[in-house]
Amino acid sequence: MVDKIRHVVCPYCGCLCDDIMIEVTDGKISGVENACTLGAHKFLDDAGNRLKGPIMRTGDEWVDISYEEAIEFAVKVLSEADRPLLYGWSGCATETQAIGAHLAELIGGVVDSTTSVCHGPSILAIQEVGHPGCTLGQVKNRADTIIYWGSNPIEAHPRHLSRYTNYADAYFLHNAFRERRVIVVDVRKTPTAEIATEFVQLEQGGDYHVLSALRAIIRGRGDIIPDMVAGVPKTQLIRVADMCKKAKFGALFFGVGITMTGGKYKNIRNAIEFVDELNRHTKWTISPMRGHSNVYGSNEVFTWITGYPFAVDYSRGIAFYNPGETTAVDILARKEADAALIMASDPGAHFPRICCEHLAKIPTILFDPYPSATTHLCTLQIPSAVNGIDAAGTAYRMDGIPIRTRKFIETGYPTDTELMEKIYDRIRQVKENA
Amino acid sequence: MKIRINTGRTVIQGSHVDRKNSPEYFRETSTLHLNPVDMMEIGIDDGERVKATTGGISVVLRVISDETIKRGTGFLPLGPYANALVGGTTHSTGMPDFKGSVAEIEATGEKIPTVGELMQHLGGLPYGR
Ligand code: SF4
Repeated sequence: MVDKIRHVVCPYCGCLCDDIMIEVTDGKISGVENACTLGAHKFLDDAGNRLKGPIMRTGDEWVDISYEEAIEFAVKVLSEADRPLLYGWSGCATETQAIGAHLAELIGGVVDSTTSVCHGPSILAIQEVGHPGCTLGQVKNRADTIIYWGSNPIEAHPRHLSRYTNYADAYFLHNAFRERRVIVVDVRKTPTAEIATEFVQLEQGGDYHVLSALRAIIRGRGDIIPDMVAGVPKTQLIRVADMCKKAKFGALFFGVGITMTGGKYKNIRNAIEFVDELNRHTKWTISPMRGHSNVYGSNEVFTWITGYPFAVDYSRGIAFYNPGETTAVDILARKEADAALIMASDPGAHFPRICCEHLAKIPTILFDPYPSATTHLCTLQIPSAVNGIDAAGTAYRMDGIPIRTRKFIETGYPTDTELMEKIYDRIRQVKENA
Repeated sequence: MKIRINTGRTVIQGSHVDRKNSPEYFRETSTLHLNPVDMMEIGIDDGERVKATTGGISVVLRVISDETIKRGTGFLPLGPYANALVGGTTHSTGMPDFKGSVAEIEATGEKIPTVGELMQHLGGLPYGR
């Protein structure tokens, strides 16, 4: 039997496209419409790729165990640990993230999301100078000038351009495609740079300099700018500054190309202050291109519950936040954690080597439906239902809009919310009886 | 030769993030894009392998030439191979230097480890294959 399900939400990237059409044949996904290549792979590759049940490393062997045994192991490891790290959270629902924050408090652990290795620096900058942001709907309907800085949406957020910027229709522009100008700033000529009206190619690590130069030009102090700034000719900087000032509504989107390079959060602070500067002349906004489907949700949820957006340390009994000290990479690199719970993320593929080595040494419990790079490093992997396929929950789009994902097939896998609830309740019992 | 390695998402890498043990993911994330002139200096052709070393740690990679890459720099799609070259320092920000590893690059005939083998070198136990 073939079913067509409309208005499915893609659980891949921070765009959270909510117009996907899925075709299900005999309980399996057989077709996808409207999604980009990344989203289509997410849905179509699901069948046949999941772990059948929990697997555990015993000595030099992997053995299948039951969900009950897996939960028991997780409860024992987490309740006995002195410095447990609860990391990941960006691919799961906000409902699961909330349990993660409460669990950290219960066991005196550290809860951190993948934010710390993507837009953590952006949050640090926003904490310093604020965030002149807006929703993607505003950008779609009003923006005539778009900047992608250190971001390559054609490969990382493929429908961002068609849903919200260059190729999208706009309520307040007559011929949006003609009227919109796209400026791309990057160290490499990415596929996004190919479609730009203006491509600014800078030297690696030159973002801070170029932003400072643009700010000076907008302030009317172009005279102090040298002929070349980090590989960019002054004439081009003047042209870009002019385009920005002439915009009726501008939107700057920045990616991890600027959060990960030298200067880190200071780059973002400079970008926000560049937008502030432009706002003396016209209307500009700035927003991070959040990667994972619900990484923004983790910041929201952790902030409601703990007061801090990521890297929250409960070892003192109260919430403590100090990125650089309480962030996952630092805790692992210092070999401090004595147990780890990894939720819906893959540090094996995305963390520095020294952190992976430590994860392989300590009891590491991984929640992931699929075998990943972390699978080879962990002690126990528990597969759960996939949020947006066989589980529903709330996720936050990159502009902070909460969207309810849909469950459209039944597979029998427990959801990570159910699993985390069980683990939380049992650990609470253990603590109460101690 | 010293090469500053940049990382980032590619469509192929991104399409296989839920299949990290697939040949497609392996191939994409272990392929370093270099400027053809730099490749000539290192003495390698398209598809040949190099050893990239940072801080005494090496990883073997396949190379393809890419005119869009500036001399002295390289692009390696994000994944376990790129991160094997990244140190654990975050300069008190929580964020490591993912995009600025300066690696010593030399030609090699050695085999590229699979994702499972790479994790085994880090102390893991390959699952499945
Ligand atoms: S742009 Fe992002 S959310 Fe939209 S279909 Fe592609 S991967 Fe999914």
